[in-house]
Amino acid sequence: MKPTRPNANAKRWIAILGCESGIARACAHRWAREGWNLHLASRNKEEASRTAADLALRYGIQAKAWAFDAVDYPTHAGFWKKCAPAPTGVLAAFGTLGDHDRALRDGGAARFILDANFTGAVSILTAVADDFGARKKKRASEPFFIAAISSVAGERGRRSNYLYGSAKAGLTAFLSGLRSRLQPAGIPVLTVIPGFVRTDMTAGVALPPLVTAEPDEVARAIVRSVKKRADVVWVRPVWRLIFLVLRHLPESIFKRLSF
Amino acid sequence: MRNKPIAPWGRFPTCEGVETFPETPRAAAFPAGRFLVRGLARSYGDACVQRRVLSSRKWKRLLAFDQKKGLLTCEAGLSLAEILEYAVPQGWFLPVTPGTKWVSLGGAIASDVHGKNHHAAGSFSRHVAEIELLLPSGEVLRTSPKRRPEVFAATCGGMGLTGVIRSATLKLEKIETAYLSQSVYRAENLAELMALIEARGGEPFTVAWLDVNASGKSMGRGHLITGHWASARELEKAGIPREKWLSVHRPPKFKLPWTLPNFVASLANAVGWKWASWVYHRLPRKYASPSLVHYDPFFYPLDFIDDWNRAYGENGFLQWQCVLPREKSAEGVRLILETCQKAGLHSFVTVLKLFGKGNGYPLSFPMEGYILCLDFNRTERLFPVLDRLDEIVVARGGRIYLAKDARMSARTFAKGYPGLPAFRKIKKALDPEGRLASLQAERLGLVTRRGP
Ligand SMILES: Cc1cc2nc3c(=O)[nH]c(=O)nc-3n(C[C@H](O)[C@H](O)[C@H](O)COP(=O)(O)OP(=O)(O)OC[C@H]3O[C@@H](n4cnc5c(N)ncnc54)[C@H](O)[C@@H]3O)c2cc1C
Ligand SMILES: NC(=O)c1ccc[n+]([C@@H]2O[C@H](COP(=O)([O-])OP(=O)(O)OC[C@H]3O[C@@H](n4cnc5c(N)ncnc54)[C@H](OP(=O)(O)O)[C@@H]3O)[C@@H](O)[C@H]2O)c1
Repeated sequence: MKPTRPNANAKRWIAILGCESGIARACAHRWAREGWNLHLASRNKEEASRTAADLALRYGIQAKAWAFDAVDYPTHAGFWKKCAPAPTGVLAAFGTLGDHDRALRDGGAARFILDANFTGAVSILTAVADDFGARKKKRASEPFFIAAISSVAGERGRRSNYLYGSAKAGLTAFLSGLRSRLQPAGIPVLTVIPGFVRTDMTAGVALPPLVTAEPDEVARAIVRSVKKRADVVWVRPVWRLIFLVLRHLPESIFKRLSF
Repeated sequence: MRNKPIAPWGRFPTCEGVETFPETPRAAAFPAGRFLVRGLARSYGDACVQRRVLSSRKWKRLLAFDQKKGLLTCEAGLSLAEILEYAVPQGWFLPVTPGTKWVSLGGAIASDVHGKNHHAAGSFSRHVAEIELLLPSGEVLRTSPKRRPEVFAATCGGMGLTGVIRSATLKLEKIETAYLSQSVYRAENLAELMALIEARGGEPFTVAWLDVNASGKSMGRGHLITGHWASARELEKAGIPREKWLSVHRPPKFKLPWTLPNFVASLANAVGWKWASWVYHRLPRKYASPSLVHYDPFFYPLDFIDDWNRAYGENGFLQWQCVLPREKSAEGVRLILETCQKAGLHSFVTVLKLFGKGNGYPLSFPMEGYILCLDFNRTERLFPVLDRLDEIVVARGGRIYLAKDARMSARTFAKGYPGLPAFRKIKKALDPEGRLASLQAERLGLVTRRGP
């Protein structure tokens, strides 16, 4: 189970923010299998340590657990500085669907949806981008990367979840701008756009099997896209087609759709 | 969330319900009200059936491994197969294993499972150093044979009723190779078979297969299979290449894609039980020398087909497993076999084994004596016969195995398990509202029928 081939990644670290997400966990397994060391950050440090122990035992890599809260902005810069050995890749996987109906009544709940999906990502990824940009100048050959998980929900605001949707729309736009900013430095930024994924987030929701991915399917796409230095990846790709159509529906019709 | 059929391995009984698969074992993921935690649903009956089920299938993290002592700590949803995939290449094996590797660590503890080495190694829980239990209240409780021993005793064999096992520490057994040196002996009747079993008790692994069809003087004839771990020297001598010495099992070769229609299944069964006699007559009377076999066919002869339970058809099947006190075993086993034959019931696979001492835990099945294990297609006429078999067992101070049971009465249960009052007390302390319950626990009066 431990990597047998000579390991090119033996000294490299990736930081996974929101590491207890189903998708993040599947990514962690894939990266660990390839010999990467991992910083695992979660609001729940105890859970993160359990995941770290598992990955270290299975794949013979090093893994460290960190406490990280996406909505606690003042801690972000400090967290990133502490995160040593310094990572060369980051995946922001945190996010929350929230309770849309409650959020319509409760401003705090609405804010939390926006913060946990968008503002938090802006805060931490800006710190990461500054750091990567500076380090890349000294170590040009090092394959730095930034990846974050957005959602098809960000492609168009829908009646049933437009708070989450608008936060993800913001995230997608932010990542697109960040990508452009880091382009001259040669640091790729990957936007991951999943449709439905079978994780805790969607537990209790009846998902249509044809367009629903398993967490590992998303992880495979992420790991592969990072390697290819891709800009955007849709999982499953059919969602791209679906939203090509949905995006072009005139607003006069779209506003009548109740989904 | 839509209801789906919740079925056990024997496909009887089933109910409509919802099974959830949270990523991690935590109280926030508990279903509201009454629910059951389950692993790979290899229990034959309603021990793993409830309308709301919390599945441990995704709880697969390894938490610590002490390479010197062989102490492995991991989450309860890890299967024994996955534990072997991790441990065997490093020279470690399960200290006790049931007849299939597709059971979860949590399920193995909750049923306090036994293997072919019970007479030598005791049941599974003897090798469990610590359990981390998640109570319905959300509290986490660590228990071991020394720490809160009464909770430990009630949890091992406690059928998921004392709390959700989050993780456990298991003491593995050191092996030099993944192979066993196996011997097979033939016996012409029950007395001969039992004498053989007693005579070969020095071997760490023993199990006997009975030909249930033989009657009269040949009643109870069968084969005894014994084994012990083979040394590297034995493998070298036999010319087995070194890279295979600690090789892991392979995935199942076949998969039954559908459940067989009932009439095909009953037809197959009507002829199929004859295989025991057929095999019996094909195998030689004396076996020249021991042979080397890999652990997979030795311990898990049925695992090469995935989902073989589908071969029994939509109606499903029942397994009935009892243990009889040693001094009552010979007469009891004979009476059970006679009763089945008179009723025209034929068991497909019939196993006889001698257990060592039990551990005295309130719901743990093993006690010193012989176990007999039978399995039958589910038909209406089966049930009254099984009731008679129950009577034979409890009248002799024996008991029925909860992991296989789907129909015994609350009275049979209470008579067989004298530790029941002690268990109730602990259940009350750990789960005062009675939230954790299987349909079996409801049927046997371990909790009230109506949950919170
Ligand atoms: C082919 C075959 C051969 C077998 N051979 C043997 C044998 O040789 N010896 C033997 O002893 N048994 C044997 N069994 C029975 C099997 O070992 C037990 O039924 C075992 O409990 C199944 O484990 P599971 O993970 O499938 O548990 P499930 O069937 O899912 O659950 C079994 C019980 O364990 C409880 N449980 C499961 N997970 C947890 C948890 N995390 N926390 C608390 N409680 C939990 C459940 O509530 C339930 O009461 C065999 C079964 C099969 C199908
Ligand atoms: N599942 C889908 O259908 C789907 C579809 C499209 C996009 N996505 C996106 O994919 C990403 C991963 O989600 P998932 O499906 O894997 O769901 P998940 O298992 O529910 O994971 C979400 C993770 O986000 C973390 N999180 C939430 N708020 C946080 C905060 N303030 N600070 C730090 N971490 C926080 C949670 O951490 P805790 O463990 O601490 O709660 C949780 O581990 C999310 O961004 C989600 O929006 C999911």
